Amino acid sequence: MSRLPALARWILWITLPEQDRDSLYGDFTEIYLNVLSEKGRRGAGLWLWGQILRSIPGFFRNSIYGSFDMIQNYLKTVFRVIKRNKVYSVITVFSLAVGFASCFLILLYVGDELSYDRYHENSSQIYRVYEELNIQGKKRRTAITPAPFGPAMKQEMPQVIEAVRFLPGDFGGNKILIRQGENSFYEDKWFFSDKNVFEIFSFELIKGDPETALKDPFSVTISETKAKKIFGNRDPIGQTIALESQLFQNDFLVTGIFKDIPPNSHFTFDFLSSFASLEKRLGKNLDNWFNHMYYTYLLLPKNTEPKQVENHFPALIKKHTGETGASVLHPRLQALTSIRLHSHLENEMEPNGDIAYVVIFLTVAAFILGIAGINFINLTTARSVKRAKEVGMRKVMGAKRSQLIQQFLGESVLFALAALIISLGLTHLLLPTFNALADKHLNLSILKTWWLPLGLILTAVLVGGLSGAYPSFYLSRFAPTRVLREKQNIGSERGYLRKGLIIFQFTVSVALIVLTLGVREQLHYLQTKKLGFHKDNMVVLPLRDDSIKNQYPTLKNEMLRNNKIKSVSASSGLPGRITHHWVVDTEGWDSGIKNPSVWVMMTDHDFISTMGMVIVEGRNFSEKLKSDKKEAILINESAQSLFGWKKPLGKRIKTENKEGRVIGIVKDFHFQSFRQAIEPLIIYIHPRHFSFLLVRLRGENIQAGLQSIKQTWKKTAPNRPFEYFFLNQDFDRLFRSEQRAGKIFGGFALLTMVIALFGLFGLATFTVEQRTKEIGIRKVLGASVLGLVRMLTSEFTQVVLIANLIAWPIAYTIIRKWLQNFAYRTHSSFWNFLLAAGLTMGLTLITVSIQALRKASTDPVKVLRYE
Amino acid sequence: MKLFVRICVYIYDKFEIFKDIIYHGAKKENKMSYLTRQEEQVLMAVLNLEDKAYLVNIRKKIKEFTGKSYSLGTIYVPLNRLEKKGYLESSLGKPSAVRGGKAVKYYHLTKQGFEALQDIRLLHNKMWKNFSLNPNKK
Repeated sequence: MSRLPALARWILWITLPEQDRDSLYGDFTEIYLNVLSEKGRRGAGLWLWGQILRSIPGFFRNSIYGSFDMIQNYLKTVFRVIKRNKVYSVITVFSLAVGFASCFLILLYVGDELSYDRYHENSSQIYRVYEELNIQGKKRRTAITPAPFGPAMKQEMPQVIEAVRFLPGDFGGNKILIRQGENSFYEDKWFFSDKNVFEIFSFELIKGDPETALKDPFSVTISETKAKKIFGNRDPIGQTIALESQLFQNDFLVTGIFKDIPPNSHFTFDFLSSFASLEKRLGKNLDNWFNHMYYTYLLLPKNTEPKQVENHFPALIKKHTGETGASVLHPRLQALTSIRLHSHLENEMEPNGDIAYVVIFLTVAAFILGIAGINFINLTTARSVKRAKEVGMRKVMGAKRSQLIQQFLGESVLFALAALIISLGLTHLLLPTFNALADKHLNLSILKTWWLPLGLILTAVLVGGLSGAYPSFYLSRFAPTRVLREKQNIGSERGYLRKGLIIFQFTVSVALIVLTLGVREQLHYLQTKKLGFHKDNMVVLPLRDDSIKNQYPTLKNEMLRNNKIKSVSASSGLPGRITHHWVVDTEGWDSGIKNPSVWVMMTDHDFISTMGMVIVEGRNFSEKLKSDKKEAILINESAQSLFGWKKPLGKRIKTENKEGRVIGIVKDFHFQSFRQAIEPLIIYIHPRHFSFLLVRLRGENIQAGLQSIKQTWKKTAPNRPFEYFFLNQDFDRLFRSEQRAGKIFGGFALLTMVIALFGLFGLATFTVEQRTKEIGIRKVLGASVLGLVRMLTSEFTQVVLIANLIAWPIAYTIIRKWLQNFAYRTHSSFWNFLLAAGLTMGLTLITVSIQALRKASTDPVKVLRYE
Repeated sequence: MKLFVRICVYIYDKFEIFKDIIYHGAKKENKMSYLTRQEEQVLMAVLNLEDKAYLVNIRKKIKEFTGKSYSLGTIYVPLNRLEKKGYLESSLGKPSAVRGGKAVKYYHLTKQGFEALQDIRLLHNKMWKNFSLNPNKK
């Protein structure tokens, strides 16, 4: 028994310093055996482990001590390099920092997008039912389903564990009036849902019983924030709130408080009340298999293939609705977690994101990092001439190539880490702006997790390593004999690679600039496009409930008395806010289930004139003709062509609440997103459906006009809060996503451009320095300053020109693809490309000429004497 | 030229002494550094143990001096450092069964090591000249 225990042997083998491993091992064994004979196995074991634990730090320190000298030397070199080349170092670190910061922002954004709806415990098992409808030969995909779907699926299909329905309570885009005691509030996030909602979704009830909270009719659960707003510090449970909407005039009992719905949900609500309330109110209407209004979510067993479940739907539909239903209703399933980024249905609860943006953003992040990394590569290799001697010296002194590579890699990693620290500060500064741009609530609290800081450091090391790899292999290759003896411009050998990299940088910048300009052009086109109505000087007052609707004639008369107001009208919908899409019966159409469906606006007599729309055929509504209120209908040009009428006047149309004849054709006007063509629309008089009061002001003094509207409102409806918006601002919502895209692209274009120019500046400085003597001699021989500047800049302008030529077709393809999303679009004009070229060229010239001018205008005597 | 560099590298690699001149020699000349207490103890132990100075014995000796039981690693670090500095030399003894078949590494004091001890002795003498064990005297 003359050996140590196996584990101890192994640990010692690892930790003992290599050069004395044998003898040290012997020392350990010797004492161990001694102790063994004295104190027995147990005592010896204790002793040995105590020794090992206490010895390891010593051995470890010893191993560092050996290499410490070199590390110290490397660090010293790094600091000398930084000190001697302040400009380069700042450029390298700063452009890397900007690169990291934008990457970081993008990753925060992408992480947020990907996290949507994943906080639900059952997120992988929840599916939303959507519908594929065959209407007029066109396939429509809508997120809303009829009410009986959910319960029927749950009861009759064994593959469905649970089903829950939601109904957003803001019918027709109206806000709901809520009263509690003396206070009243307008709220727009009131939902109804089945009582099992808390079993399926992980919405967290802070107070109340999740099983029973939504069991009874007229019970409601409230979000934490709204509870505080309505009840202050009082306990809301057991209190009531009064709801006034089109459907309800009831008191609701508060039965629960839930934690605010996280913003990374594809829908959010502040009030969730029981579906039983709807059953009480709507009764038999809820059994209608064709009335699409409700959002249905299913909970499926783990690892169920949604296709299998879908296959059972047709039988279910046929059983309940017969052949007619089976030909129209085609329910489908989509995974809850895919809704945010992949779902583009009609009637979504809230606008969704788009996977395309995620991909684009990630690509841009990679590009920006790449561009920053290229700066590093370019500047390091360019400066290599200065470090060649160092490499030579180190090699003579016995440094191996691997050691040199280690040194240079370590240096670039050090740079990257410094950049990382700066980038965190930058991110902190830029985050509010970015949040505003991207309409997000991102914050840096995510840094508190353990994996993110680690990931960031790893990224920095990786980027530092990758961008340091080429320079370090390149530098470490220098043969000492050559670099120490010959005076040769080692840095200038690698011109091609460096130029290639600059071309890449500028290609990306130019492409982004062209894209930005293209998006702006399209936006400008949309915003200045003739809409078919006048959107300026139009104030809109929402009419939220029946009592105020009944007062509309009084309001109108009062307002018209004011000379600041040109005309007044009311309607059920506005351009950009139209909600009624109904199936209608028309004369001469084959009767059957496939009746045409059209958009419906219900207005009063003065709608067309107030909006400034044009009648192309027939006549407008007239107050003199009593019959107009009963049966006159206007249709737009698209509706005419849909119905296929050559002579439309006098033709009959029947809708849910009107049967009348066409009296005129309205010129097509834009009332929806520009992504789709103008759709068929009909207009008729129907005061019960008014949702908006429209006031056209005389142009001169908007504020005074607004003031007098307010006075009239206060006088006529003193118990209703005065709310208003301007039609033109409201209509601009339709461009918001394009505006955002434009701004974000612009931001990225700016960033890449700045980083690329930084790199260019560094390189120009270097090149000019390299050619100092040449410049001096040329000057002595009679070259002019301008000629010299031209000579020095031409090298770079060529490169930028090539970059432009590469970027143009790429940008052209992308912008054309993007424009195809719009039914109404411009052609991206040639000027965008020229402008991008001019911009990059100009900035390049300025950047390079600053350096060139400085050197070219110095006295040649000084320049030539510099050695 | 290439041959010359190769020869340089060869010589440099072969003869440790070059390394010492480059890395330590220069330092030593610039500033005279005194031994640390730990180093002093280790050197004294080696001195006292004469030709039986190896890690196990050195550790025992230091325990004799100070009453403290250091771990092997704690002793090895200054030992190794002193060897690098040139204050100690080492030689390998024969492997034996009690050592698990491993050889002993004996340490010997060099001339430099002896001088370093002298220096520290002189320093002590200088510093402690007016010191008496009798607290009443001063």
